[in-house]
Amino acid sequence: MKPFTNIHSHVFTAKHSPEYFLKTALPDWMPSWLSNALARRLNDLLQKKDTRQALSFVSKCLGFLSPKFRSVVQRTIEFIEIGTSSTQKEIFDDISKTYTHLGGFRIVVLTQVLDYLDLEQESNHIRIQTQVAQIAELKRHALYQQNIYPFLGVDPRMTGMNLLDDWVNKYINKDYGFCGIKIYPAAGYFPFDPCLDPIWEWAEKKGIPVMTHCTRGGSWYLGSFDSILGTGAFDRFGLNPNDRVEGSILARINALKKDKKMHRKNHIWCNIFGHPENYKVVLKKYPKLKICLAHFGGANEVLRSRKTDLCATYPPYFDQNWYTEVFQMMKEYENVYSDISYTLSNKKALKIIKEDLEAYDASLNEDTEISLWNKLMYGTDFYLTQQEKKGDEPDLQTLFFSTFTRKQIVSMAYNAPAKFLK
Amino acid sequence: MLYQTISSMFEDKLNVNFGQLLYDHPVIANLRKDRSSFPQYISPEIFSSAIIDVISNYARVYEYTEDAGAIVLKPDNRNIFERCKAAVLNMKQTDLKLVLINMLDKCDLENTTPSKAVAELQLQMQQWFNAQMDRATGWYKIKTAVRLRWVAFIVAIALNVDSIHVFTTLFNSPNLRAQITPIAQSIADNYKKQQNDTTTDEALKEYKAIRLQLLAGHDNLHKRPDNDSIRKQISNDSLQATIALKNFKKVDSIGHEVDSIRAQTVTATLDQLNNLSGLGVPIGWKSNIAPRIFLSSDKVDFTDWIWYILGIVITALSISMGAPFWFDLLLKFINVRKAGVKPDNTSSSQ
Repeated sequence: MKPFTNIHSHVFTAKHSPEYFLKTALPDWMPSWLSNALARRLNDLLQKKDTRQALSFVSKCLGFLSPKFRSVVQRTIEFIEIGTSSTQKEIFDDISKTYTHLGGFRIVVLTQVLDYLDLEQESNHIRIQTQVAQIAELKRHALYQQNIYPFLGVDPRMTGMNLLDDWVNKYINKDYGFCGIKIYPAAGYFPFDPCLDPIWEWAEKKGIPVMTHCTRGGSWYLGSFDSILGTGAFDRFGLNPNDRVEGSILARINALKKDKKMHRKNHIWCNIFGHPENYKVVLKKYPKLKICLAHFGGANEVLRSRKTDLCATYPPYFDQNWYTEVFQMMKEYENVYSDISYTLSNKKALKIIKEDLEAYDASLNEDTEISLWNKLMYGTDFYLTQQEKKGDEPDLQTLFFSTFTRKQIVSMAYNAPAKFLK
Repeated sequence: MLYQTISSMFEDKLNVNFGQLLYDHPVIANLRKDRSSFPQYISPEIFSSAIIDVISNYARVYEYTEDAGAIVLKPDNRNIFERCKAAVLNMKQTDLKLVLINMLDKCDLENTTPSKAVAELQLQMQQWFNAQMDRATGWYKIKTAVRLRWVAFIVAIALNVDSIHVFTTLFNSPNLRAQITPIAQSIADNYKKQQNDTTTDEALKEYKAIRLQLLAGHDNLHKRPDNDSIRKQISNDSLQATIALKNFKKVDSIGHEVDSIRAQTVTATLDQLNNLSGLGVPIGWKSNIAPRIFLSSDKVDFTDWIWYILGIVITALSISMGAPFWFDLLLKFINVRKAGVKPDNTSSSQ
């Protein structure tokens, strides 16, 4: 029998993130020098147990006034507690013990390149090479090797090595045990970057699955707009302005370049890197590439697909709904998958997804179309969901089992991942 | 600090950082207090032994076998030294690679047998580690000095001691100077008395000795044994447990004694500050002292604020130099003042 699979989880620690990483949580209006200094200080403080204990004490005291506030602080502290574990092994232990009751299970652990989140800042964190070496050790460990399925973090800006021969080919094989590629374009690059072409060609040929972050939220490039897009040298991407998809991407980039207000709002302008439409350029060249556009567009986009008044926060050139876009791509391309990781923590969004997939199934032409239940996978985005209400792993499992039917669960947690990882 | 130092020793931004991998090594991982902490101390011997393990393990070869359906270790005839060398030679070319290659070559040249070469490599690693730790101690001192300056600045503001204002007030008022001289003298005398008094030091020495005795035999040297572990001991060895309990009581009583001596010193210092303030030395948050007086006066301009801030900064810098420095200086002043022939009270009254 195929094992139950969580297709999307993380076990990297705070030490694997750059020291300025918490800039993600600081407001855009803050001057760069201040947010950089504050982020580093916060990072230092939160890694100290005393600070977390003090925060917990304050939240308990204030909890009498506002139970909601207390619960938010407690959840954040729990999230930080997991993140500040000193090894990845401990975090993997945390997640795997919540699946033991299911018998055989597989957990896809996504290593992530966090080294280029700001090209102008230095940081003494654990770089991707060491992060991957630690996971490789875990994969060899007899206790874990049947359960851990690592994906290799890739970033076109990785220098000093041949990305295909020295990195991807070295780790993604049976001896090292890595079974897929993880990319995170919101960190400041396009998935159609020519440096990634040899990787896509290789992955398509070998049937290696690719996991990519595809939601407006998460973490993003934290440096200045000019440090990546300032030169405007888009010619190297070879986008054709007359092509419908490529023209639309170029128009979006050019509109952003003119919109000076957006230049400081990294969380929004980084949407141009992770936009689902970008993958169409890759899929045009490598149509058989097996790729999972994770998070199904994100819970906010799922909700926005029903309530159009929620779109006011985006400028017109960013307004396209990512959920419907991913949905369309899953129908259109043979090997485009998605997962419900993180989105799973939102009950309303989950209900909409279920309704939409069931409606699509009802109108399905079985000769020409396939059911999307075979392309949507179960995943949780552990431990990042810890910040959400009812976002810990057992709660998410409960929500998953109570929302979907038995047949749907088998498709999402057993069949689709088995096909994707094959 | 220890983690950062070890991590920076092996950081070249390109190769796997062996220093960071070291913290996954079981020997090092077991030195942690809890899951989120790193060991506070690693001895050079443990460091060198573990880091050689980490480097040589990196050269081990694993393969997936269909029979076992698992990734298994491939048999390898190379000894630990040869594996270390292979791991380093496989690194991408960086300055760190050269450092490690040279280190390995030195061991190889000077020793004929692998075990001697490994022992030499351990020594080389220890020397490197010790040199880095010396640097780290320097960084730590600088970091502490910076922190102390911030604390001193907060204390200067909290007590509102503007050195420039205090100095000008004392300079212009011979009466005030005459009044505070005996207080300064008594502070100096107390300090001298305390310096000669060894009660606290002896108590602390005794405390440390008993604590060491208690910790002996416990796996985790950073943790004081709790009541549960004592109960376990009672079941195993009631005599040892009784002694341990007795020692605990003694440690607690010494702790109380030291605390009460320290509390007395703090109370005495606060009393002396109150006395100074009562005499008219301009310290504390009073309505007739800056900055509160600035708010109620029309004649205050920008330069007054600058002088006030400068006064606070001088106070903060003075505090950050530490109490012993100022007490010693005070003692020297008092000694100078006491030098010479004592004025004759009878003749002065005449």
